[in-house]
Amino acid sequence: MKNIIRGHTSLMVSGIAVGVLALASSLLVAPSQAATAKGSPIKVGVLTDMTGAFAIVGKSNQAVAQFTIDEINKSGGVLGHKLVMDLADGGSDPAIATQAASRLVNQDHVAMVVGGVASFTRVAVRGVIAGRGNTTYIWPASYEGNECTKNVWNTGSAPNQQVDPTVKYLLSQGKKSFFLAGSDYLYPRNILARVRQDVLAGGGSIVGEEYVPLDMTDASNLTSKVLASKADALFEVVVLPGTAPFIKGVVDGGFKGTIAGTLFDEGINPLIGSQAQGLIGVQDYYAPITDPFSRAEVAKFNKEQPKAAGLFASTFNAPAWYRSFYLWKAAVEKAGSFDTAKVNKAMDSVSLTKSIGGPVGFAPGTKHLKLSMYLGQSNGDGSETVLKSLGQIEPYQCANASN
Amino acid sequence: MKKRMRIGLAIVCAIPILSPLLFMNGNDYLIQAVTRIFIYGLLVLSVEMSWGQTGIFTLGQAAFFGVGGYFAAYLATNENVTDIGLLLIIAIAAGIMSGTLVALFLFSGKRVGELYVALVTLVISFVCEKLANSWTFVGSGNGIPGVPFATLFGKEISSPIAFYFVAFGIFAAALIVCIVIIDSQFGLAINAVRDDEERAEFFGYNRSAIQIVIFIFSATLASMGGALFALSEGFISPSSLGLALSTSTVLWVVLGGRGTFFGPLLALALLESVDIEMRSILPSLWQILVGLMLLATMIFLPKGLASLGEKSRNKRELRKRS
Repeated sequence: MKNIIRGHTSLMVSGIAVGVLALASSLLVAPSQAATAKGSPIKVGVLTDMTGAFAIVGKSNQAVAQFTIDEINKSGGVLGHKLVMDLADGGSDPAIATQAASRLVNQDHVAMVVGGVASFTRVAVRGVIAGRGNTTYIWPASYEGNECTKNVWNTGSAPNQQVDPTVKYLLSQGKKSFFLAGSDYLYPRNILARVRQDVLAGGGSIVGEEYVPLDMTDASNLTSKVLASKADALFEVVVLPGTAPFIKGVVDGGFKGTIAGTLFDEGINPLIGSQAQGLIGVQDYYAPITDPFSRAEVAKFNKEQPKAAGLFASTFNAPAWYRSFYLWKAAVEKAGSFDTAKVNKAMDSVSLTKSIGGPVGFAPGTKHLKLSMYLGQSNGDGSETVLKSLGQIEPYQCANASN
Repeated sequence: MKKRMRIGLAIVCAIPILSPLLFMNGNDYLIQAVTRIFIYGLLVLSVEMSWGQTGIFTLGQAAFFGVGGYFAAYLATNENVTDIGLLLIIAIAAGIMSGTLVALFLFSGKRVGELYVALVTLVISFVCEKLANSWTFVGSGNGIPGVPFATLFGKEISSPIAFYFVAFGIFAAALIVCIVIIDSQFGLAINAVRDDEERAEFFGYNRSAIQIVIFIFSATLASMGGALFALSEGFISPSSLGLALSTSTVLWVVLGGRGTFFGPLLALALLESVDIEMRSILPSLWQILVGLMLLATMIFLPKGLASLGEKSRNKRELRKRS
């Protein structure tokens, strides 16, 4: 084999070149300054998936973050400081997300981080942000529960907040036998465990429980099991891309019962099509809720963020992203400081009288929110009808978490 | 001393000489980013050894990376084994075992085609990712988060700088070992197998033994890389076993120039350091640019970045002659 580089000079040059390139990033980036001066802008980290499988959610998240930060700045910022969005792409991959999180915390020294789309991102980045980075981390997603790590705050709904009212409603409609179906990972398993508990406690019965691979697209096997069970109700947490073929199969196959789940709203329904008619669920926001504040804010959002117009949906975590910034703002103002420890102490009991979706507030000691929830029914055109406003529901999470 | 060895030593020496640049900045993020380049560097060395030097076209090297990572993460998190020496030995053992299994399957019998090897390794990586995704014992989709800091002689390696030097030391040692192997008599036999398996057999070389040994060796390198990754990042997840990482590694080797150590490492350092910047500037466009760059390299520089030096030298010599 021929040697690539001959002679001493070029040899040393090439060796040094590799070293320089390994360090190139240090030259590309200007050293960051911590914002302590009075009135200087404060960076807030926004970590979402701009690329990869969750790019559609990332698009909504980024727009909601920008919208909320602009709004806070227009009303005077936080403690007199304007906020600056520091956007980092998680790439729908935990390895990319930790690197992005590390940039936010260790290089840009952001005051806090909101973000993550999938739970695998949360568990990977929480160590970098909240643990080794000792920075406030807000996880704005409906998820499987049990996130009680120090410096981490959950602003999405916990399983009981969606599941309990849904099952209660189904039982009240005379549905006695339930079929549970979900994708095979942590979120559906935890949600369906809660469903099982609620159904049995309410005197119903479980006639089937099935888990399918995450990337299932051929739902015929699962569909026939559901149809054969002749259940009164189907509770399903089959995630995309399996959702649409599964529900279409069940509906077109002549399923007589009611279909319920945690992932139906204006964001997901259009993918299901006309078969979405009659799907039951509980979310922290639907477009037709009557709260005038929510309506005005979402109209303003659609006008200010035209690229993401129509993407303000609960299943994209939009209401949770919105309130995350305001809850953090309230905590900082209550603490009178951006110091992580002080903000965390204050966060435990902050609340908002107005937010998109209605009033919310942390239930002290739980790291989760008392959320205003709504019972909704999907229409065939993708829209939702609100059957009932459920008021604020307590999260059953993290007993006595200190911060 | 052979020229290749000198290049290797130049790389190895240049890095610590330039490291103060990092410390001056005092930026933990950059230190971690460069540490990650060393860790992926082990993966690049592993693909370069098997594909670049021996002609075993492995498209699933991340599987071994992930195996090492999962072993280290599991033991550190659940069994309190945090000594980095011990974890690396375990990763080496895991690499040898998993590498042996695959190598015996692929190379113990008759000669198999390059494409066959590529497909089998690709499938192995795919299957490993699927398995990790649905196996609750290893955390299924969430992987294993919260891996504690590694320890060295009972002391925690908690500062990024300390881990940077650990990763660098292991990377440097691996690079030197690879060069020593390639510069030895055995190295000639390895290259002979790459250039023409059949002819190498005619000359009396044990083609199958050479391929098995190199495949196991490269699996071990990848596995060590995975263990370092888990300890450095504090987590391991199914994507570290999967196709995306496997193909990225091959991409680095293609871009840099298969058959050299310098080129692929250069391509890795270049792409990784630009990638972390571009991701925040042009998140969606950047991926397309990488694809175009790869395409351009294939068309205009089929031997990769490493052939740039050769090209300019040839031009100079032509000019001298005329």
